[in-house]
Amino acid sequence: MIWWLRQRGALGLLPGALAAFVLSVGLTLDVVVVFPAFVGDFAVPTELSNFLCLIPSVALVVCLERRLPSVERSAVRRLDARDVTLVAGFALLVSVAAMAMSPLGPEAMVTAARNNLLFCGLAVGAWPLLGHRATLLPVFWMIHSMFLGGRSLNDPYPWVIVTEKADVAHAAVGAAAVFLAGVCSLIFFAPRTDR
Amino acid sequence: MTLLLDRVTFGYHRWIRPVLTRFTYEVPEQGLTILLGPNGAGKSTTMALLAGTVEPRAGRVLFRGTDLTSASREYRRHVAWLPQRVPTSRQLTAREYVAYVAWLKGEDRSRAWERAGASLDQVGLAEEAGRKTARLSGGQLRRVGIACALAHDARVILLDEPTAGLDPHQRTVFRDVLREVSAKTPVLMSTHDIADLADEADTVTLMNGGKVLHHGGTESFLDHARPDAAPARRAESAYSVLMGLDGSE
Repeated sequence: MIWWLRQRGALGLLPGALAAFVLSVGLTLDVVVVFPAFVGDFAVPTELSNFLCLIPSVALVVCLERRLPSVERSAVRRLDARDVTLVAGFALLVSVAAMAMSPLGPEAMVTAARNNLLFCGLAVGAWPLLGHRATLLPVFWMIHSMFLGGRSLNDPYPWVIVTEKADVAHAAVGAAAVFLAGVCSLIFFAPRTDR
Repeated sequence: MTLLLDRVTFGYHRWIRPVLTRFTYEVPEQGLTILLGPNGAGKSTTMALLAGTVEPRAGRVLFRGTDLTSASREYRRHVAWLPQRVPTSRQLTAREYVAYVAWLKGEDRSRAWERAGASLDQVGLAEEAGRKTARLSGGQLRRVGIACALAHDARVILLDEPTAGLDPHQRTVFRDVLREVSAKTPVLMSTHDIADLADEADTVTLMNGGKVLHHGGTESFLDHARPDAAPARRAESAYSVLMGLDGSE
């Protein structure tokens, strides 16, 4: 199993991404950026830490892209379940780590934990279809939210999720739903490494 | 009978004409068999079906008389497949890579590690065992693929165009390894390069358009050569005659 973990980057890439995420979010607390609303009605002020939630989702796609399909597809051992466990476990671990840092800034950390689940769900869910290009989906969502997501000043549309405040219930439920859908997509649509 | 495709139909998309239709092919039980044919003949599809990486639309793949679909795990354990492009890893060394494949095939960790060392030694790559596979040459990578097959005691080895892209020296080294391995384990190797026939193949199968044009010993294949063909060109001549490219048959 150690070789599978090394091949997927579970001993280097993923811990590195976790450390980078935690450190960078911790260092950019309360830094707010405002992009112009090119098409929507209002710009949405966004904490810089929201962008940093892209780090774990990119790392997960890189991890999945490290599969060796032509070798693993003729395998006896089942790797699909391990891959799903690794990916889902890592995404949850990142969110738990963010929540654990909430004494530093409760609002920002809870938001980071929620957005991490949203982005990981989007990236992982799109991976069976888009492959390495799945990393673009969370980025697209982020940019889309920035430029089109404002219903009025400081009031994003409900579907935006990412720029909602930490205590908005529907945003938390939405992020969790997207994450679950992403994991289900991985289970049902990812190319299997055995049958 | 070791490995048999029994009236298999397979296509990559339902709306496109199948690559193979009611295709029957039996892999010889011993020695090196060359599966020869031009690009698009159906060689890689045949190899993929035999390797169990794709499933036939109709028909059966039988391993020692048992249908692959009912004994998938057992089948996969005993069949080694070296794809056309051996995937490399920046994370794993050659030994770790071979051990990983052996582990995937069901060996436990310590045995996989031990067998990986021995297999690399067998294919002459003991000194490269500590190098990352992404840093190996094409020829070395193919030998790593062979080592993977040896590490898990494969009963059949399937090689999909393993000599493509190798320089003459790498080909010679690879053939030497192949000759040694095929003396103990049946090997089926697809190629479109007649030079691969050389002198080591025991059986030759020629395919074109999803059909077998010839299946038999190397000598019986060479017997199709034109009488005036130079000795060094007999294989090419036989190929042309069987493919209907020289207008004589």
